[in-house]
Amino acid sequence: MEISRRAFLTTAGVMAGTLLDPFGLDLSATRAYAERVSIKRGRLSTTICPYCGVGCGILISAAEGKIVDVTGDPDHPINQGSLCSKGAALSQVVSDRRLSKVLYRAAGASDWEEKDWDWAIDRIAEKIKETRDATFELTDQQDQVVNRTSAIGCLGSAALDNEECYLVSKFARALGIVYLDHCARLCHSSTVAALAASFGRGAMTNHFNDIANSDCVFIIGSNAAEMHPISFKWVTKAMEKGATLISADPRFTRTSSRADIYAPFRPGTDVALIGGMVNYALQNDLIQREYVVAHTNASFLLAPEFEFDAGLFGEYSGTLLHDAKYTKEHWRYQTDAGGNIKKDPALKNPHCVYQRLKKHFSRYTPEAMSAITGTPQDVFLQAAKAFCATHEPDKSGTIMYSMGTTQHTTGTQNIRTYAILQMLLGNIGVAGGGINALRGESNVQGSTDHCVLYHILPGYLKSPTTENDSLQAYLDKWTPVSQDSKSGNWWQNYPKYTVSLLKAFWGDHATEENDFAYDYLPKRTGDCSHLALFHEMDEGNIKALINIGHNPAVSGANLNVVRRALGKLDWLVVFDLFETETAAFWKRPGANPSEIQTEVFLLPAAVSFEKEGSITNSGRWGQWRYQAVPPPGDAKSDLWILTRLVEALKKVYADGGTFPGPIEHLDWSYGDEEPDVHLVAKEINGYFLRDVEFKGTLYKAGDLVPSFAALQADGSTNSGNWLYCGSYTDKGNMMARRERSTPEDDPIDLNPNWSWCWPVNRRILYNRASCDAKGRPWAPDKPVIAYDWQAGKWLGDVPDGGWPPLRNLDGTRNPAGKYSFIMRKEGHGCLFSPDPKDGPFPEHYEPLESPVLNRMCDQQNNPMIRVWRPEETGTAEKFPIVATSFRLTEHYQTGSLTRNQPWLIELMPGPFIEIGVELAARKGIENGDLVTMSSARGEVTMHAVVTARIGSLQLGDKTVDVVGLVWHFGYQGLATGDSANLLTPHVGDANTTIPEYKAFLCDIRKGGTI
Amino acid sequence: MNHEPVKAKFVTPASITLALLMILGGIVAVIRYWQGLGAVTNLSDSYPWGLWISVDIMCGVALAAGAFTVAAAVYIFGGEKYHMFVRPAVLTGLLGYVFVGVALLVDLGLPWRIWHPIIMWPEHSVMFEVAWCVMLYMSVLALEFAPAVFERFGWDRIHGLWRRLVPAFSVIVVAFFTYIMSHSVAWAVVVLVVFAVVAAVVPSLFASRPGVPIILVMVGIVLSTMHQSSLGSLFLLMPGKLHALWWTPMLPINFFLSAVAVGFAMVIFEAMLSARFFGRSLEQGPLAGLGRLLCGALWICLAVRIIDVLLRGELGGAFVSGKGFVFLVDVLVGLGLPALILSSARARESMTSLFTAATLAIVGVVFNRLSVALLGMTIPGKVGYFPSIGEFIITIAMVSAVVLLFTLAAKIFPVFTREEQDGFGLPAAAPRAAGNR
Amino acid sequence: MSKACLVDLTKCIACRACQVACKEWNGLEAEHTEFFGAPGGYQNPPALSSKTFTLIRFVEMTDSDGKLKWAFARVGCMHCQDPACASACPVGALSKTAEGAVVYDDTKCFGCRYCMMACPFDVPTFQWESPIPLIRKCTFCADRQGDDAGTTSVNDQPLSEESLARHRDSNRTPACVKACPTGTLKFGERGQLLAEARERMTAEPGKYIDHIYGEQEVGGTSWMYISDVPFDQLGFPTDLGKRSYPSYTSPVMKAIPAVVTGLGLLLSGVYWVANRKAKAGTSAQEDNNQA
Ligand SMILES: Nc1nc2c(c(=O)[nH]1)N[C@H]1C(S)=C(S)[C@@H](COP(=O)(O)OP(=O)(O)OC[C@H]3O[C@@H](n4cnc5c(=O)[nH]c(N)nc54)[C@H](O)[C@@H]3O)O[C@H]1N2
Ligand SMILES: Nc1nc2c(c(=O)[nH]1)N[C@H]1C(S)=C(S)[C@@H](COP(=O)(O)OP(=O)(O)OC[C@H]3O[C@@H](n4cnc5c(=O)[nH]c(N)nc54)[C@H](O)[C@@H]3O)O[C@H]1N2
Ligand code: SF4
Ligand code: SF4
Ligand code: SF4
Ligand code: SF4
Ligand code: SF4
Ligand SMILES: [Mo]
Repeated sequence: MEISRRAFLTTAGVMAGTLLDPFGLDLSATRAYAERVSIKRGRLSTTICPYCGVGCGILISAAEGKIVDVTGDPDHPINQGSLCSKGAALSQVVSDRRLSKVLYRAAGASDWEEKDWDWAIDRIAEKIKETRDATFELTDQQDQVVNRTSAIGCLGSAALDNEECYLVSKFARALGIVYLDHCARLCHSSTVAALAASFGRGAMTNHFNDIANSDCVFIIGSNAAEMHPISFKWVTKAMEKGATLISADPRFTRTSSRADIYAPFRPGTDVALIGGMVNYALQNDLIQREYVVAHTNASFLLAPEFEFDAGLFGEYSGTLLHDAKYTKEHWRYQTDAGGNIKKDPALKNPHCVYQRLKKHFSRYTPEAMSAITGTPQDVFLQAAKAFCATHEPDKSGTIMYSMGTTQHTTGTQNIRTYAILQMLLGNIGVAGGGINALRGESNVQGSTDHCVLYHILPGYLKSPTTENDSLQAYLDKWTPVSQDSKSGNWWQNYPKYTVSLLKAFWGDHATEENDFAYDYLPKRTGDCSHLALFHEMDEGNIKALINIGHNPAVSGANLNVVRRALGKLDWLVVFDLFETETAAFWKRPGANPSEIQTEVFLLPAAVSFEKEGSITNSGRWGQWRYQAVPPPGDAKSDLWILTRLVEALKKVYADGGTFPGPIEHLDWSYGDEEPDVHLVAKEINGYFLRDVEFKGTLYKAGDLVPSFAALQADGSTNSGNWLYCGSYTDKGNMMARRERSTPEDDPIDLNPNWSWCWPVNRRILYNRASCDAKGRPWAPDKPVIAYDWQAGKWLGDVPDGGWPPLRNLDGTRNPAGKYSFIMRKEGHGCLFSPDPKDGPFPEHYEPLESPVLNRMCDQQNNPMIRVWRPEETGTAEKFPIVATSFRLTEHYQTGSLTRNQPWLIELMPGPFIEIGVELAARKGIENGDLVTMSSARGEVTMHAVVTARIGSLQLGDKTVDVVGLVWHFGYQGLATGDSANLLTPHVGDANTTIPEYKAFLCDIRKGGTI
Repeated sequence: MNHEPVKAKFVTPASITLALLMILGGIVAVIRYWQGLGAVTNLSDSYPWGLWISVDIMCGVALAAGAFTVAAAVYIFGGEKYHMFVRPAVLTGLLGYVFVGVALLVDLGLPWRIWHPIIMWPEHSVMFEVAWCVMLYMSVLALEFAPAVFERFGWDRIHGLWRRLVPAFSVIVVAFFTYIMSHSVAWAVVVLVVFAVVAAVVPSLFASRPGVPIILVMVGIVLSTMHQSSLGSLFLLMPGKLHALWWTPMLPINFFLSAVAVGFAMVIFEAMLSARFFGRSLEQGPLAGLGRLLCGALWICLAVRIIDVLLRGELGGAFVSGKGFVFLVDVLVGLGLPALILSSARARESMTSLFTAATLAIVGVVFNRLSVALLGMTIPGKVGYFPSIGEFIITIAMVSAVVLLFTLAAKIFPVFTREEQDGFGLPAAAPRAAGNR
Repeated sequence: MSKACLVDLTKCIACRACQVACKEWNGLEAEHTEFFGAPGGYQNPPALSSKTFTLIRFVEMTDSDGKLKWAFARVGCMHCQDPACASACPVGALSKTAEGAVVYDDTKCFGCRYCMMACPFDVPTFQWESPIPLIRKCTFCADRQGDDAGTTSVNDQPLSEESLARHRDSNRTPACVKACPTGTLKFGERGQLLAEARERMTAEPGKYIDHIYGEQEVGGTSWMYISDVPFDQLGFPTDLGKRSYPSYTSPVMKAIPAVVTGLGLLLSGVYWVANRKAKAGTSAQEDNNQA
């Protein structure tokens, strides 16, 4: 029998119409089903999944403003029609649980009131003015111009579109806000620090499809199968071609379940584990020597004074409580008279990076490694052997990592260790290689690129500090200079990008005469990150918070502080889709609303597919999303809300106020009636503001800039983010491109004509390193680029710097040739990197809370961290168990979205703690029991999953238990539960203050109530 | 043979109790129709069939078998001495089947579609066969009972018409049945011809001896044989779930044989009860005779069961686990024990032991049906099942209804034979004067 | 051509996209669940139901080498080649289509639930809470198998040829299979999939256990599995045999005409024998026989 849909519909139609059933009963389930089928393929629009950083394409079918079907976009090169459970459930984001009205909570009130937009926007504008004007600092105590307010915090979001992120960045700066941060801080801040320190850019080096090109996939600190499920499409493809999969994780996860080799280890010991592998590669000479010499700084000679002793890299002062500091004086290369770095390509000189590195890691023997990590040596050796096998020039191995790595007091150095291993194995820049930092949220790459972060401006330009008292001082400080003519040193263009940014912010008002309004940028002092923000708030120093798409009352570290601190605000504005724990912090269990004087504005926002704009996935693909349906009720896009707010602010400042210039002159013209996101995207790309000739073409004022190479430092161009220059040109919206390539014309699956990838549509970063010095690929069967000597150009991916290779085919030097790592002024990948605050080489330090003493060196903890609340540090005596927090496939982050969706709640109805079989037996805990877990900061009660997938580790002669708990839950939403962050410590990485969510001490006992 | 209505009061404490039980059942039924089966039953996706299917329907059909066994004994095998049992048995059968239908209306998810099998003909479905067979057999029973109605109201002309049309109807029914079960015109024709010949030839050979056209009786027996056995065949589809102690290709035969046995048991049981309740005398001879038939049937059942299990090499299973125990109860208590009791002629003649044995045989069959439909099933790793109060209430209401309607019908229609003085047991007049009990 | 699905359990990451995609396509409500509905806490719902046509079973165990394993198995209708459920149904509401799906016509069903009893894999489920309950089970997305009305443009842009072909394929693929990121679920012709299963097993000797579940079980099924873990440990019934279930009842059904005829003749014979005797003895009573 042929069941065509038409036949099916006819049957259903008969049913629905004439109704075979008497008594007026209609089989509504069936009828609804039939109706759905008939419209399922109605008007189709594409969007990109709003959850994880994979960036899957989704096809939404809508009719009459309602979603009728959601399915994977079959054209999309990454997911090719498939999705994970969250993506597949997307239609349930729209429900009557969504906010559809502006809500206001008066000081001390115990409930919300519904308000209209005009009222709310006007009142918020007045509140901002009131607080800003009362707290604005024109100069600091040293009389340096600062033009800032330290009393208003702004938290942005990786859930917003690029255009919105850019505007949040712009908006906050215009107000003089320095406490600007967002979840990227909590997520991959250490990645940016470590990868930039190693390679020059802070992003995932390759992209998802490229994983299929790998010969060995090493997943550590990530549970990719659960958190980036579609990445497993590509991991699986690699495995089908014979790749080995290694999973190292304190917990045996769904990722581990597919691995050929699984290595358990103790949370917080990545440097020891991978350091052990670095040592294994060096001792057994399993490195790709030619690559190492050509593309890394292995051969560079270090200052003889550079020393490492007793766990410290030279001169150090201060304490963990206060102003810890290295002088960094000796963290440098030897240079010749001309300022050029001295090298020993034979790698023999004892001062060369290679020898110092080898010496440094020689302490990381398998025995030492195992005693620290708890990984059995045989498992380690198996893993080390398999991964180091990729040192062969034509083999590539990739590391996929995420929060297991980043969220530590040693987060940056964990990643540095990975980077060092990958450089030694010759795995950077090649197909199937790289360090695939799996960015978390759908647009966390974009929100990071647009720098909704206190320390950088869009495009990773440093945000000025008080010492940068003029534009020139600022540019002098941050524009790197290289003496070496072979160094591309791309950052020498710093001034062009800075001036173009200032032009984008303050338009015509930014002139050469007024330093392009450089004064309008607030100047910061010290740490204004997430941890600092909530600490200051708790101290009463921050009076107001504008919280756009973030839920710190669940996601922040040490929620006891966060939730209490929110109550000390005068006012709080929240833009969100749901009534989050943050917006409703005054309703939390145990709180008395009448004692909380914070005024709260809860503004209903539109979700991804209810608005238009672009987002950037972890693989740096900027992808355009379309509006499928309108937002519910009064809900509006963040773009709309920000625009109305800026208009209202301009109005209140028209009558004067403190330092009104940056608001008054803020260039915010994105359409007459409703803001047009395309105009924002174009501004991010940049326009010519005067007629300019570039590469022989004359561009008119008003034309879009074709590429960042055309940006100027003289005010003749603007660009909201130089990295995105080229994303929206006169060829159109490059991010909206939808052409998938075929295996024939694109054997390594770069998909150059699908969307647009920063920088300049380069799909694999540092791809010049995929070739030898003569431009020939190390792996000829999967070349990323190759130099065509006849044509005099690179073939394949967009090369990382278009210059020819360093050497001609005959081995002579090519005078036009440049080094491969153009974003480092050294031009080389940095095995030794002077950038991180806590050392040029990674060293194992114990997490702040650890059950053992550091076996590797005398420093127990990373000497460069700041311990905010020492009294809240737990000891092994009271809290003997090592805890880590983790996620699940079925829930997303703080659960605002997923804990409001019945299909996902069905799959994972509540939080739980994974407890090893032995520990559970000792504590009399059985699978399914309620258990209470406590740390020096608080207590939570959850169900116990008693499992062999987690357990005790043997650290030399000591046995340590490890447990893990799910952190997605809170007191709001359809499914509720205790928040893991009631337990986590208020401490962060030395370089970026990413909180140490992944390793702390706890105790557990049977019982408790939920 | 002459029949007359039982003379007794309609409204008695017993009938009121029964009626109340029926009303209670009605209330549960309303909830069931309002809120779905889940609201009143403990049925689940693991146990989609529960008390209602196994007792109300499976047992209901089996226990209504008396109609065809006695009819066969009397009309086909010429056991004329059992004639007095025919009408009560037919009435029981008719009511039994009606209430099987009512139970179905409660149990079916979409009861208003109960007629669907009439127009939808999936010839491969055993259940389809059962449905048709039961429907047709109900019409046969109705026709068999019809003379009592005609007599009661003196509708002689209709009775005459009935007599003329019934043979044709019977032949068509069986031919039609064959057709929809096989979708084969050829077979239908064969059956049509065979039965037409039988219908035409048999009465002309033997004159119109019985009051019921013999062809109707035969068709009733054919249909009964078919569906009584088919109820067993239903479970042939469940070799994975039904324990091998019950699951056998012999299931249809086992079901048929046990239905025959329980048919006799029911007749005995009913006769003794109605004698007691209606204060009628009992005829020891025919009852003892029925006891013998029952005894034989039980032995056959038992032998077939045991030999089958032996031959399939599954007997070992009887001595392990709960299922084994259930099996032992099923065969030893349900079949063996009554068979043993009845093997003694003395026991057959003792009203107590005859009654005990018949009751045992009935309970035995009920237990057997429960075993096959529930107790012998293995549902891997899922929830268990025990009937809910609601299910019990409905079941009790059904039984009450059958009993109540039977007593009412016996009081209205000439069901029982006219009391003759050669009875034994209670004197005929005394209890009648006392009303009931 | 009979369509089928090959499930390669060695690839499953238990993302449960299949589970949700099925709900999305079929418009199924969420169930209220709690942790430990099934052992281990991860699997939910614990069993198939009228709201859940497919689910992933989570099994934690140690393999024969003592290695820890976490295996995941998709559970749902097997779309038997000769389905017990269809042979059971007295109204023909269930049937096997030529394309391979065992489909349900809710306009016929009257809710007897014999299909549920008959299914060797306990698949069909019932809407217990509804006053107008239906049988629910995986449809193999038969409603996706037909023509391709719909997708011609996306974002109001016409699609290219290749794109159209991709959309057509994707529209025809069962929703769960389409969603599956890892290729654990693969849709295709049964014969080809069987060949591919064998290929995968020979390509990586020792990886899979030597059994294609569903190749022969109950006469073969349209959904077939290969695995690195023995099927019984995954909760699959492994004692079902190769014989198709309907073949247990079909002889009985086929015998009906013969039995009816035979019975007719037999009864006549007995009657003849019995009444020949009876006639001799009791003809006097004849007239009293008003039944
Ligand atoms: N379903 C789902 N997907 C998501 C998210 C989500 O919430 N839900 N969030 C998104 C976001 S923002 C992010 S950042 C990513 C996060 O993605 P992941 O980092 O993959 O997720 P986590 O579960 O936080 O942590 C990963 C693993 O780190 C392990 N781990 C714990 N301690 C250590 C350690 O010391 N070292 C190492 N190497 N590993 C350790 C944990 O056991 C855990 O399995 O996922 C993104 N994708
Ligand atoms: N213990 C522990 N804590 C952690 C982590 C951990 O591993 N362990 N991980 C950390 C990491 S990596 C991260 S990224 C953070 C995440 O922390 P958060 O950023 O706080 O988490 P989300 O739940 O993603 O919050 C985003 C909010 O934005 C809303 N939203 C979504 N779309 C839009 C939109 O278009 N407009 C607006 N206005 N709002 C929108 C959502 O409803 C949600 O409330 O948590 C951190 N916290
Ligand atoms: S959550 Fe991630 S993997 Fe899942 S569909 Fe969305 S983008 Fe793809
Ligand atoms: S698995 Fe069960 S429901 Fe599915 S086709 Fe087979 S018998 Fe029918
Ligand atoms: S419940 Fe419906 S589909 Fe199942 S056997 Fe009965 S009538 Fe057929
Ligand atoms: S084939 Fe269709 S109905 Fe069946 S499980 Fe998959 S999605 Fe659900
Ligand atoms: S979608 Fe595929 S990988 Fe995910 S759970 Fe289902 S079968 Fe497994
Ligand atoms: Mo994140």
